[in-house]
Amino acid sequence: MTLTSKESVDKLHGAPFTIRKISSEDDVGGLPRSHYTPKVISVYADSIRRQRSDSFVHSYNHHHKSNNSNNHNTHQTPTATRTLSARRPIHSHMSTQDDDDNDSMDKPDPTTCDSTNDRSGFLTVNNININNNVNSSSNSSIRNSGGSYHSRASTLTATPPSLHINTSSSTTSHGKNDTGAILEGVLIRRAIRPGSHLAHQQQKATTKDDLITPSASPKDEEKETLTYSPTPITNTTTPLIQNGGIISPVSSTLDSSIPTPWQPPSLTTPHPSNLTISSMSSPPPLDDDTTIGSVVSKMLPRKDKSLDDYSKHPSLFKRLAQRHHHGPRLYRDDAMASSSPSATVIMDQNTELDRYGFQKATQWIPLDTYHDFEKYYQPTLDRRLLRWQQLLDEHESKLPDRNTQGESFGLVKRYVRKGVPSHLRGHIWFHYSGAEAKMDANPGVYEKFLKRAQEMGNENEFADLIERDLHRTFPDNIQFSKAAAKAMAAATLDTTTATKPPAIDVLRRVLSAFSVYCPSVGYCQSLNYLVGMLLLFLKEEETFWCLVTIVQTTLPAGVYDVTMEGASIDQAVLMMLLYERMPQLWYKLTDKTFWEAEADGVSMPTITLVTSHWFLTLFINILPTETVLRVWDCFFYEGSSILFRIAMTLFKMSEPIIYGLIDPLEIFQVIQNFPKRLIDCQTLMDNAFRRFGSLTDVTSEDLDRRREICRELRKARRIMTSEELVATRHKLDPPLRKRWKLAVNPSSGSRK
Amino acid sequence: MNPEYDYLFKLLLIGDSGVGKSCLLLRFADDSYTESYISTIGVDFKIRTIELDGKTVKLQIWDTAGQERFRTITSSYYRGAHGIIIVYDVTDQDSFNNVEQWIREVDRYAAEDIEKVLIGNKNDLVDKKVVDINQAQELADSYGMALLETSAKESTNVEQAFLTMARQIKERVGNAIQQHQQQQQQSTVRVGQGASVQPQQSGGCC
Repeated sequence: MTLTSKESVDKLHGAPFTIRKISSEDDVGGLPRSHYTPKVISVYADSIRRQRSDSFVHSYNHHHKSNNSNNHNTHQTPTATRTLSARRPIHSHMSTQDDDDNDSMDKPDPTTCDSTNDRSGFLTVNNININNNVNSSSNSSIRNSGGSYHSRASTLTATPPSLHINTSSSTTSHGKNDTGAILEGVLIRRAIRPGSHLAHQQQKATTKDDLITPSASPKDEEKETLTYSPTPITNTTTPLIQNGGIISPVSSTLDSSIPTPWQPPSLTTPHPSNLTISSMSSPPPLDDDTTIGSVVSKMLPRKDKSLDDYSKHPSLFKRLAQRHHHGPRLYRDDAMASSSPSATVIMDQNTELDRYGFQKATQWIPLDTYHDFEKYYQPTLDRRLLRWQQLLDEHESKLPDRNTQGESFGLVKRYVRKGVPSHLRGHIWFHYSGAEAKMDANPGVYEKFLKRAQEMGNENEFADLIERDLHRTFPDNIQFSKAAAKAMAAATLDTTTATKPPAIDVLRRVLSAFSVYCPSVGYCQSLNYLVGMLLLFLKEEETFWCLVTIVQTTLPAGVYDVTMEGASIDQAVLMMLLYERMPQLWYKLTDKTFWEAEADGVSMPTITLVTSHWFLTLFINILPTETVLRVWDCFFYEGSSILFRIAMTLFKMSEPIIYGLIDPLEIFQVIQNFPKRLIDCQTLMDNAFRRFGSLTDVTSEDLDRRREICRELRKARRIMTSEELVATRHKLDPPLRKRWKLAVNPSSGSRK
Repeated sequence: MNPEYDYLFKLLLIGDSGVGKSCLLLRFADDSYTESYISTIGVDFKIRTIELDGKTVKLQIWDTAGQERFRTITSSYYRGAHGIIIVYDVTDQDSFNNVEQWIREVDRYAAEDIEKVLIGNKNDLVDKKVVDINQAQELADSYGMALLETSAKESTNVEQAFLTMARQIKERVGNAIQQHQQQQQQSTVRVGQGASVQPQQSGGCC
């Protein structure tokens, strides 16, 4: 049999998807080509259907009228638009908000212009409520760009007009249709491109009530809206220096001797359109022939009644009215609030970073693909932000109790599965994982162990290993990158302090403290990735407790221990599930039964070398960043069963490719590389919980039982021969014996 | 069956964390180098096909995590390997001191006749070099291994290291095939029934 080369194997994974290519088939699992199929769209339909069924008790009265007019695509007069921008807290227009929120996929009518305006008007209110200081200094407005939303902004001398681009977009009449969520993101981007006619119109349309300062040029605006602000706040912020496109804070770096409180990079983006996985450089120019409307219309199913009906559904407007009365309040928590001077460091001229500071393009995901995905994903982000906002409003800005019975029972889980807005992520992970409770119950413990670790210094047997991994953690992330630190230092002409990436010292501190706190684990490679990712969302001590919770509570015992037995048991459990639920796939991996492989201790499919990585890093370096974060959302809420569900989904999605292969090496390669292209987190999550929901479903009790079986088998392995062990497996677990009998005959599935 | 190669060899890169296993592999398989490499968890794996004495040899190279505790995960896969490349860092005495421990690991889990090569990486860092080549050569000789000092960064000796490994395996495999054929001839004479399988197998490989 002819073996294909590595390249041709890669091709088998499917061409990079494009937003413009829409397959009408939905038969190849998560192959990129099928990412935008009607199947995917039906997620929206489903979610909308459910949202419709939600009950809202608030009346909407007079809002209904304006909604009706909007639904009939009545053009708002320019006067109305102006009124909105001048008197922002006029909420009668907000009732159209949910119209585009929920209906964004439904009505790609390019003739209307109302909803975008209304939507922006609503969002404008947010900005004013929060950012009520106007600062005309362009320098400070750059410094504070990036949407420092939280009230921690008080640490800064001036609060910026951080979102005024969006504000001003409300005054332009370029909304095209009801697909506001998509449109808005794009329109705003268009508007802020330097030299764009829209940008000029924005400025013309700006009234004195608007937050744009007269001196702000379109170029400044672009920076303000699109720059990522990754630098943690420090106590000694000094003015920023802008130098050749590199903007950097001169701040005291995090030194292990003088710890500076770590603040996660500002991800606070109260404005939905700011949830763009924003880039530092301009977005790719839109092809005029391919308007977003037309893209959306292609993405939509031909006719979805529920979507059509939805815009007319009163509950929608009730909901809006409710929000309206409550005021557009976002979740705020001082403990979580962070506000940091923005630092934009361009590691390479061609490097575009995502909002977390990672490079957008990877070996597996070309930049164009990433951009296409951004466009596709933006409406979802917008919608989820509004949903969460509403949920928090309903719970007085507190996260609902996990065990809440009644109205919101199951709601949070559903919301979490659909994705958490990135600026809420840290808090939601921290709260629902139980780390918050742990930290509250252990005041001062982190400091104590940190101090102990620092006193130990190199006496700590793990210090050297930790040190080796610090710079190998996220070299493509601006917070962890030497190159970025160098760029920073160059920009600030400061060679003494800023040569170290800001997050490295914090990473060292958390890992060292943990190695002392939990000596049975000490340090295990892959914890560096967990801490690194957590630090992008949480403060130092919170990160520590989150790590403690993951290792000691969320995951089973012994995963990162010296023996790593917990990890290999989980691999066995995963293989057991694979053997039971995808026997055909299993026999592509090995000729033996699961029990034979488990019994002899050396025959477990080689693929567990790959899947152990999946579990150890919780899919970091396996899935693209945004996809990892979606998995983590669920992981922190639901526990380790999520890892199994995602793993099985990945197998299921790659199954069609694997069936076409014979060489085990190629199969290995597919499973290793296939997830790295899964930028479409929506499809993955939908597959895990819906499409393949019953296949992947596994309770934590069931997992514990299986873990126990594998543990027993391993104990027995030390005293019995493998033949005896296979023979005794039935005694270990009668229900499994039954299932085992039902499993397909090895010979039928081993070769296709 | 019409394979694109004459031989398929499975190689394993082992050695302490941070000695440059991944960089060696990257240099050999993709001829590139990066300062910003991530630490390997589990395994990574690359393929390169080379020409050796007129034969096409496909090398399947597994790069493993260096931390000691990962051996429990990776060691069970030593068995299927044809060759093991043990890597140390010439600027790190500890990584060299641990070589013997790695050899013991190989002896314990890998096939008996597995080929081994010792590599001292980061040889470009002349100023920081602490492991003396004579000392390393002594160790290599005592275990019957070839020693090469390499620099993945400057691409020195990397190719040679992998080719040395491949050549060693090829020679051994060539001998093994000859022996195998001799055994088959003997067995067909001596044992009637049981021999029927072996000639078929040999027909496939010759």
